[in-house]
Amino acid sequence: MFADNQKISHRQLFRQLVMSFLGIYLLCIPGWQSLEGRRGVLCVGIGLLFLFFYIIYLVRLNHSYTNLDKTFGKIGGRLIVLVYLSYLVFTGIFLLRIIGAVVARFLVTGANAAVVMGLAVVFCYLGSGQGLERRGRMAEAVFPLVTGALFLMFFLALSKVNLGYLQQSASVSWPQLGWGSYGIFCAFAPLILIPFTLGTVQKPSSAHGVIIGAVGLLGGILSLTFILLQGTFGLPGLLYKSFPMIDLMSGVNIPGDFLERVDVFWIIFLLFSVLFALGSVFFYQNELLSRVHWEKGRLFAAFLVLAGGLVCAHMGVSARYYGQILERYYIPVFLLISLIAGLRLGKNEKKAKWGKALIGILGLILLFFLNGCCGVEPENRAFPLIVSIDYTDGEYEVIYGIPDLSNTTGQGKKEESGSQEPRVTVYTGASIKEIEEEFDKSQKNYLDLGHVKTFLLGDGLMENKEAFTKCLAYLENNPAIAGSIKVFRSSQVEEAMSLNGNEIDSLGEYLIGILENKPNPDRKAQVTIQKFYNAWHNQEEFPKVPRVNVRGTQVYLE
Amino acid sequence: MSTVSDISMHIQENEEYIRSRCENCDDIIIRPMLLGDEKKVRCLVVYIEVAVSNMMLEESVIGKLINHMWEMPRDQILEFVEDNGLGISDVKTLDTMKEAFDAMLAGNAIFFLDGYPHAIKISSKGYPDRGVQEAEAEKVLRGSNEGFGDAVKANSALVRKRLRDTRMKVKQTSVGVRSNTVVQLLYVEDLIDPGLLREIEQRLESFEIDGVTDSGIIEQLTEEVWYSPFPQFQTTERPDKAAMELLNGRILLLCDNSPVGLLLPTTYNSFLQVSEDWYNRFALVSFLRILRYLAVVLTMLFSATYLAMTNFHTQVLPTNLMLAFAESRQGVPFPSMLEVILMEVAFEMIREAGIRMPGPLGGTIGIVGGLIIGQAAVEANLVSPMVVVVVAITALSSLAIPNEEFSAPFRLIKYGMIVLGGTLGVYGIALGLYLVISHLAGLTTFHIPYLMPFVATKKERFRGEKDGILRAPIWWLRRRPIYARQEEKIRLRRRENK
Repeated sequence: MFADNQKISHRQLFRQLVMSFLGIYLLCIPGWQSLEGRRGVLCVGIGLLFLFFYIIYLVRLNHSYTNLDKTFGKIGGRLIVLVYLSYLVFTGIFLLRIIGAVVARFLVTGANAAVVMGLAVVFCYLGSGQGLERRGRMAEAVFPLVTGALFLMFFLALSKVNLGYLQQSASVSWPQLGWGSYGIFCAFAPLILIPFTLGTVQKPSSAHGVIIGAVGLLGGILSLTFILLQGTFGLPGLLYKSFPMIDLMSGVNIPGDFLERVDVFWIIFLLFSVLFALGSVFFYQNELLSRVHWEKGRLFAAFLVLAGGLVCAHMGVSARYYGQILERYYIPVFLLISLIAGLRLGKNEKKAKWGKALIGILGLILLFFLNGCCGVEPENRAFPLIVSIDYTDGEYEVIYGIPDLSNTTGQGKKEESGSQEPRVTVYTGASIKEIEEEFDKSQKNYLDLGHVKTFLLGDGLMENKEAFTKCLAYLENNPAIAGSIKVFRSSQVEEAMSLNGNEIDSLGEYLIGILENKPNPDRKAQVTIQKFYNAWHNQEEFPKVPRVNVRGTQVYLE
Repeated sequence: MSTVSDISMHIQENEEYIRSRCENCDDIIIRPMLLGDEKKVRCLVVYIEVAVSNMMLEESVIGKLINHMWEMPRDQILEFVEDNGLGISDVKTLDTMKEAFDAMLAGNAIFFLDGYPHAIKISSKGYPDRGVQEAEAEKVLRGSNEGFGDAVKANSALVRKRLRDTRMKVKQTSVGVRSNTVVQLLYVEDLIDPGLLREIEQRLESFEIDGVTDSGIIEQLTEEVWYSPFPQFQTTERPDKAAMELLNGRILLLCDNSPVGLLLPTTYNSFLQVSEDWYNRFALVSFLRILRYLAVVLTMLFSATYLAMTNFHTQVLPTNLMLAFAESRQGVPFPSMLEVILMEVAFEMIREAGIRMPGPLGGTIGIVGGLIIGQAAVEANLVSPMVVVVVAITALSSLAIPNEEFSAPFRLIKYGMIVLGGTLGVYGIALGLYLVISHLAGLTTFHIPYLMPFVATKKERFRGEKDGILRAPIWWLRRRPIYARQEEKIRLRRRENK
């Protein structure tokens, strides 16, 4: 009957490889210091060239890994399994750290790391012991959605590319090139597990073409990413980004503007791929353990990953150590093992039910803990649409312009009596962070900067370069603030902001309206905060921004 | 009588045995008669009172023979029965008491004759039933309105009516130690994978149960993964759909007393297809298919996404919409998640009440429920108007899924997604989706991956039946689905000389 052979097709193998690597590579590799822009593309090319030969070699080792005891002896086989298992646990911890970091910073601010990681382990562990076919089908079904979404994102991001930034070239030295290429080679370390997979692949001897194809596609996507990132942020700008891909995504919108920001969806596609990679880690743990008849250790191995992830999160261990350990220890050991296996090749030729139930219960218990990191209801948020920032007498002055909901939405629903929020709130402090803390202490509603349309910058701020760059650094590191926010400047910041919610419902939208609601709007006059970030990092002159003047109760743009 | 299962030559023994087994069965009529010109030939007719009417007995061929036997000499009666009785269309001889009782309990009359070691089954129309009904759960605008009834034989006849080919086989068996429910397997001999037939037969023999009163019991007893919320058999009430699927190489399982047939094997895609899809043009069908797939996604994720967007990722929504959400929530006493769950449960209650209520009342319940929940609850500030809109869209989407059994798991999963989305935002939704997709990827029905044709088709070098989310023009639908016998994979071809 159909599918009785329990083997996956080449297409399923291809898609599995791409799905496992795509998310984590796009999140992490562009953030590596030695792999920016065109230098990164060069490193990818050289690294992959060596990798292709290694893949062909690994595919030939298929039979050596089928029975490890036979190839390496009983003790040797077990030692090798331990090495591979430790690598998988190590990789699992790294993936968990990335998931925890991305979720806490970009998706659920302030989420409990234990909950985020615990749930990821529980959900990815479930079903991981049920054969490669299942993973193959999963990858096959999801692949078009994930890659389709990412290619759409790449396509839309092309409009953000500044050709001038693409002309920038970083210095290329042989050691840098060598380490960069070796880094790329090491990044594909999970491919050392291929010999364990090939037993369940149709026509394993010809699988190297598929694997090389998948790695080639990933390399192509990485190269495209390097170029896009250089073109969008410039090489100096990239140095300030820990997850440059996410910063790129935050500036990409879907045509039509029916959604304000869609970076959340791009992140989710990448995160889904990372979850798939974590599921693959658990799958290979199970596979390895079953090779040496240690099936009972499956749950323990998954627990090790979780425990490791939690300890690392608690101790604040940087995910960058992963690369260093991989490059210095694991890769040399793996190369040695595969070499021995190659030499040897010349000479030779169910009870998870209760465990699952336990994990299910554990997952539910973890969900209860989630009460602590529940989101904030929309009515309990303050949505400033315009924020003014000025700098006088060594202090920042920030004014948040919050719209009148009844007037803006037209629903006319009365807010709770006695709790009506002021439309304009003024704070001063030594830094913007301090000001936001002041806001939190004094206002009942949570400050949600996700809908800020406009920054109105005071002359005092823009004329003090040090204060201004500190302000830019703070804004750039706040994931809630989109790069597409429009910037205006004024010497009458307080007067302009006092109109918000009084003479003008929402000053931010009003100012944008003055610029945009014309038959032929002047697009060049619209300056976004991203342009300021880029100018700062690339040491260019700051762009000129429209100036706001107030005459009576009317604002004018010059 | 040598054993209780043999029919004795002596009618006295047969009668005693029958009377002992039928003690206190007042609905079973045991009618002794004396035949022959001297009224000395004893005979016995046994039948269930309502299932076999006197009129039927009078009008059947054997009934007429019995009338004739009244006037025959004793020595000619046996010879007459043996010579003539067996050639009659509505008559069958039975050799054992078990066969005789099975036939009688199936709604036929059984005729015993003294000195004759067999029984004669006189076919009847059987138990009362509702006859051919309109398919209530699978209404279509184009196509036959006939639907299966309660009688399994009438149902298989409705399929036979559409497939007048002896290659369409009907294999009959009985299930249930006490209910002896007739179960039929319908298939086209040269189109099905023989392994598939063996597999379902083995599964039907793999359990022993007191009684089966509906195909739903068989469905649960023979499915591969008991804990999955997803149906592993496709149900249908439509003989035209059943016939079409038999031509696709599937098997139809019909169960007596059940108007619902089970189609196997089943895939995710097949649940989103309706019989009309074959009758309408491809562009319209493709559009409707996309809507159905969208309905599945919305049913599962819309409420959860609303919560994730309003509680975590407010920057995604257009500012005016976000402000409208915030404004509409003013004064609502419950947290958004509880508000959504309450509304979803309220909708499920209205739905459940509407289904159980007698016809005219069902509609009233919907209107009253909608008015109360939609209007009064908003005015009383119990829920925000946005949540009513969100729940209404989710409810509409769940109703747009053509198969109720397939819609149900998504309605259940929705609650999990609401909790995940409400507590962890889109990260929670991603985790939930990962689990759902992982489960679906692992699910197979009769060794066919559930996600077929979106997965695993290349593995078998199958070029696809071009009938997935989009339906190709009918001239392109030349191949049968992958689970059909591959020697007969072509179902449509042009004639050379036309």
